[in-house]
Amino acid sequence: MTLTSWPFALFVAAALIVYYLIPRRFQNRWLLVASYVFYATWTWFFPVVLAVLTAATYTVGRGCRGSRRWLLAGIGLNLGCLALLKYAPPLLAASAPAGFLLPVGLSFQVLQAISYLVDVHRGQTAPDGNPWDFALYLAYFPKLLAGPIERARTFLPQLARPRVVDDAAVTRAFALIVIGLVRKVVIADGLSELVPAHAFDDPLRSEMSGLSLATTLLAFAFLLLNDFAGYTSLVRGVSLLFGIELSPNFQLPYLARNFTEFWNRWHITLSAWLRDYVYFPVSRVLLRRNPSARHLPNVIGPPMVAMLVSGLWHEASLHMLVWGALHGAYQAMERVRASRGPVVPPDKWSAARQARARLFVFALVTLTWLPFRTGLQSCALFLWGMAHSVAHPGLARVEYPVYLLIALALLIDWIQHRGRDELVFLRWPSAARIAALAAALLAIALASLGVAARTFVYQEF
Amino acid sequence: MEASKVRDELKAYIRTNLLHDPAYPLADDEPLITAGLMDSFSLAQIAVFIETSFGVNLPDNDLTVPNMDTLELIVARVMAGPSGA
Amino acid sequence: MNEPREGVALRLGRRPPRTLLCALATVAILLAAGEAAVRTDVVRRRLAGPSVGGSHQQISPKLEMLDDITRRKGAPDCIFLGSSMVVRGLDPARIRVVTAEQGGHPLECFNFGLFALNATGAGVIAEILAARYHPRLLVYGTSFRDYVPELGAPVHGPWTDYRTGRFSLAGALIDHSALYRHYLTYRDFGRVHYWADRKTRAEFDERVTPEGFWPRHETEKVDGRPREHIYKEMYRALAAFSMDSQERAGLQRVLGLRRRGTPLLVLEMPVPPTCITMLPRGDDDYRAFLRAVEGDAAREGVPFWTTTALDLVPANGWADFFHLNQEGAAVFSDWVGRRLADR
Repeated sequence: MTLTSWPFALFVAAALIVYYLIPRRFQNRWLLVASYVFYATWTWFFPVVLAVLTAATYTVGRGCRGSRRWLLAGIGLNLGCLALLKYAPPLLAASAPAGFLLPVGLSFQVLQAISYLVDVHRGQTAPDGNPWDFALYLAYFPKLLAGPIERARTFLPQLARPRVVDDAAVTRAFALIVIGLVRKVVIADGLSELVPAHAFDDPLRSEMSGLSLATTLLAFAFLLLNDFAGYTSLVRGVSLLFGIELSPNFQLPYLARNFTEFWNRWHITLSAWLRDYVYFPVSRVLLRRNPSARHLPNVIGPPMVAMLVSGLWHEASLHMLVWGALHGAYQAMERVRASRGPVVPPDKWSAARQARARLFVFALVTLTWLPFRTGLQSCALFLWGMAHSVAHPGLARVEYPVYLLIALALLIDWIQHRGRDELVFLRWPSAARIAALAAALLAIALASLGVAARTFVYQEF
Repeated sequence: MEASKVRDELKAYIRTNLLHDPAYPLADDEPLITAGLMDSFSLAQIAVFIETSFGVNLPDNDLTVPNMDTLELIVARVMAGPSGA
Repeated sequence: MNEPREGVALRLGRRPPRTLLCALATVAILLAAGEAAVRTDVVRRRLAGPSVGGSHQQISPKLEMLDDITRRKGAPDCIFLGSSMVVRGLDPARIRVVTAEQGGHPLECFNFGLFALNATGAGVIAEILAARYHPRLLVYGTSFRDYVPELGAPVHGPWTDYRTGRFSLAGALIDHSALYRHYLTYRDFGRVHYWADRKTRAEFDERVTPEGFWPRHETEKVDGRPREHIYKEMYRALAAFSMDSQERAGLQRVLGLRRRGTPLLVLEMPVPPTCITMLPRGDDDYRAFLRAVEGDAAREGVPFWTTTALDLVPANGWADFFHLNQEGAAVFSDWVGRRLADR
């Protein structure tokens, strides 16, 4: 069931109606049932895997506090499940059992399960006494497919706390849903139509001039952001209708002035997870051996390890590891450079320096999307194609609507940036709000007509 | 362990090792991370310094912007001890 | 108001969602005004022709021409359907003249030939034309090429699907909203193919007669075997020729319209004898094609007019090995007109 499809809208409506009609003490149970039903619409196999993972993690969690052995067992169980279902089949290739399916969202569920176990072990979270609420923590359908990666200590208390969904909450929810649909259906799906299917995997095929390759790469950069940011906005809005707040995942990442800032703005919940469960532990181990902040392994080690783990988490492939390594290297180089002199916060830089920094970070991030998207050989051919065609840009072969959609994406980003609020639109004067909403609804309707609902890019990880 | 001693040592450490400016006029309530003076990843260095200098182990999950954004907040967290009480 | 003691409480006020209602009203008013505007001659003249979308670019202009004729003079008596062989080979203007001279009553025809329309596509289009225009006669001009899938261009799209029973919101909008059809024309503005498509459309508008006929003026000598290096793709596609079952199902779909009340005629589009040498078993393959079509047509009670054996077309009547030129089309159209008048 695609999240931008009519069946999903009907499913949410039905779930909401029952949710508010049944006695309140059954609401969490109902959400759990609805989440499993949602998951089962793919195949019965997915909820079975989730149920087994949930039961195992919950059981291990009960014995995890203060016990390293239980913790390692729990982490091993989750990673083993991921290895078996995600990483093994591509490696086994022809010998993989037929019908072996990677449950959608498993990578996200495993990270949440591991964070729960580690937090219980450290005493940061009490093992949940309510197995059904814990099951809901992992299975909650708005975040089931591609996050946000929630922490048990922020999510579970919401389930226990009485809450009110009032006009303001519904308005926020609706606004998030509309913004999500604009980003996903209008911008991301629109860009997806404009990116030739073979552009990344076979870039030297004819019709791809230098400028059209560059345009394609730009399109992909904004496609990826708006696809995932649109998804997050959409599920956060849906979740608010049930009275549950999910974490934001994006904060205008292409306005970042350095790579650390970029990773504080892009896939925020994954970055926070990597920071808390990979970066900090690795940092501490290295700093305990040599406390100098300038000691090279201390500078390079943590970001590199964190980003390699990130690459591997996305996909066990060489090109994804290269992607992770590049981002690790960018952060490491930044830290080396920063250690050489007094720190001046980016907010205090001149406007020109901030603009240059933003362009630089954006350019490198965009180029680095190449190994994220395709194999290394195709990357090399893509870059060669762009460079080789510089003298013959081939203006006639550029899909110009890409720039229109990018401009729309940047407009939304800029409005949110200036207003310092993703929902700044709600504070606009009435006429402006109505016009913006009318335009958004019309754009969503036109964009979705005649095009089959596309899955979200991050659903595939 | 006195709060003023903790404050002075932390201030010196932050100015020298994280801001790379020993003469920086760091105020107790000046935002460090939200103002961009350092990033949240520097918190790992602060945590290890706190561990080695004051014997207080701060869990990774405590190394957050709300807990550690100003010198004042960091000192308070150190004085609260490992359990955060 | 008190907090609930457990769970989630829904507490909505009584005020209607003003912003949402106003936005929806704004959209509705704009769309209604736009719909009304594009239906006026003043606005329609200033816009490029509307589009029904889909994969075949000639469907939209042919529909527009046919709709225009229908608006001005009523639905045509007879619609021709087929591939480019029909587009180039049947001139409704000549048929009107011949039928008037011979039968006393001019037969108003429209040429709805589409380049690379194979039998599968013909089945879809025939159904749509029959339901939309209720012609007194639907003539399907066919040739052996129509039964080779690689030589056909698909005609699928939301509108053709909608008109043949597969509902979609997009299809319904295309069918009922002039504004949406004009939007489809401009939707791809700025895309790589947009200007090429507009140029193709302009050429089409310039060269095709109001009744859908697109003559060719060049002449090719067809007395020798078609040269392999020129017709390389055709030889490759025909190398293992047999009547594809799916394409044949398309023919049967056309023929099935007779049972639903549409008078039908199947017409063998002429080819020079040398063209038949492209088939792997030459005459044997060609006769097998004719037998298959004849058999299917007979089962549905549909007449099948054969033509190649009659040697109708003069030596200078061919633009290439498959298409008649203007002279050839004139001769062939006259013949068809005379036979139609005699029916």
